[in-house]
Amino acid sequence: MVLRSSTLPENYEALLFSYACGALDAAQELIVAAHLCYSPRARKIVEYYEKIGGCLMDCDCGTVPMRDGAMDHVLARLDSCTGKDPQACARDCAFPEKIDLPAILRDQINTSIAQGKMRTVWRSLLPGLQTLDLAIGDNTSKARFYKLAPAMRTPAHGHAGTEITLVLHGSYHDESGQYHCGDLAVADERMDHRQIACAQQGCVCLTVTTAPVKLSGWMRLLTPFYS
Amino acid sequence: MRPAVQKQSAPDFSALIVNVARHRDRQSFITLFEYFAPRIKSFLIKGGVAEEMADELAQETMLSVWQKADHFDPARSAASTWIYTIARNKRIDAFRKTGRVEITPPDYVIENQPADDETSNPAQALMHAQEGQGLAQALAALPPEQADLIRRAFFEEKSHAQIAQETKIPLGTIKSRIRLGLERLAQQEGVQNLWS
Repeated sequence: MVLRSSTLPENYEALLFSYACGALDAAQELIVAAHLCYSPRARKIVEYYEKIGGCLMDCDCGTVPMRDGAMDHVLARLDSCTGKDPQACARDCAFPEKIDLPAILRDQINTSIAQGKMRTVWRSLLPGLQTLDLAIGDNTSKARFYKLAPAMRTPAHGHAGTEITLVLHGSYHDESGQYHCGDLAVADERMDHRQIACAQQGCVCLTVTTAPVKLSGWMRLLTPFYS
Repeated sequence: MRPAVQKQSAPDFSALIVNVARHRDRQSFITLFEYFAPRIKSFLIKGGVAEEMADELAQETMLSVWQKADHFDPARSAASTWIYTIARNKRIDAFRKTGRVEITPPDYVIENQPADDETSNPAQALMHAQEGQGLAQALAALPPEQADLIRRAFFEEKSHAQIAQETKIPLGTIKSRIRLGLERLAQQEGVQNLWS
C-alpha cells in the first residue's frame, strides 16, 4: 500500500473556498466553521475569499430592479426588528467527553440529542477506538466523533470521497504530519493513511465524510471501516 | 465579458451601516437598500434563483443588515463583503432544511493575535473601501477561464466537484484554475503570506 500525504494544501484551500462560496453541505459547513473558531489564519483566508464574493456581487453582476413596493415592504418591517440576536448559548453539553468544544458544536450536539437523533454514550469499534455519530439535518455527508485511546492506531485506510478531520482534544499524527487541537486535515480518495493518537492524551476528533458518489475501478481502497 | 459597474462617487457604505447600528438611521438604510438590493437580486438570479425568490431573499438580506448592523466591524471587512455573506447565508437557509451555522467573534476559541486585530483602525477601514475597486480591476484582468470558474463558484454555490461534473472539465484542472486565479488576485491586491 502506498501511503501519501493526507492533507494537500490545495484540498484545504479548496474546502475553505467552497465554504466562502456557500457550496458545502451542512455537515461539512459545521466542521469548517468549528475549525474557524480555532484558527485565526483560516479566518483570514475565508475573509479574503468572501471579499472576492462581495466584490463580484458589488461590481461584477449588474443590477436587477427590485419589485414595486419592495423597499416599503422592508421599511414597514424594520420596527418589528429588535436589532439583537437571541443568544442562546448553552454551556452545558451532554457530549460524553468532558472537553471544551466550540459553541456551535455544542449547540449542534444538544440539538441532535434533544431530537433523539444522537446517543450520549460512545460505541466501541475496536479496543481503544470508539465512535459516536452526530446527526445533522438533510446532509449528504456523515459526521462522526472518534475517540482514540493513547497511542492507539487506526487501521490503515483509504477513502471513497473526502474525509475531513478536526482535532477536538489531544492530537494524532499520520504520514502527513502531526495534528493538534483545532487543526483540520483533509484526505481524499487518492490518499491512504493510518492515524496514531498521541501517547499522553489520546485523541478526540470529529470527521465528516462524503458518501461515495460513484465507484470507479481505480477507486480500489474502500474499507467498510469508515463508512 | 461583463463591464465592471462602479459608481464614480459611491457613498461610504461602511459609515452608513455604522449609522444604522448606532442611530437606527432609516435614511442610511434606504441608501444601502437602493444600492445593494438590486445587486443582491442580480447576483442570486445569475446563480439560478427564480426572480420572485431572488427579490424576497434580497429583502430578507436587507432586513438582516438592519438587524445585525451592530455586528458589522468596518475595520474588519468591507460593506460589500459583509452583505455578501448575509445574502449567501439567506440563500443557503432558503434551500436547505437545516440553517447555516453562523459564527461570530464570541465563538472563537482562539482569538485573533494582536497583530491581526485591526479593530477600530480607520486607516484599515479606508483600505477596505479602496480595495474593492482594485479587486474588481484584478478580476477583470484574470484569464477568462480562471475568472469564469471563480464567478461560477460564487454565483451558483458550486463545489469544485459539481463544476467538474457540469463542465466536463477534469476536477484537477478546475482546482488548479481556481487556485491560480485566487493566487493571482491575491498577488495583484498585494495580499501576501495568506496561505503560508
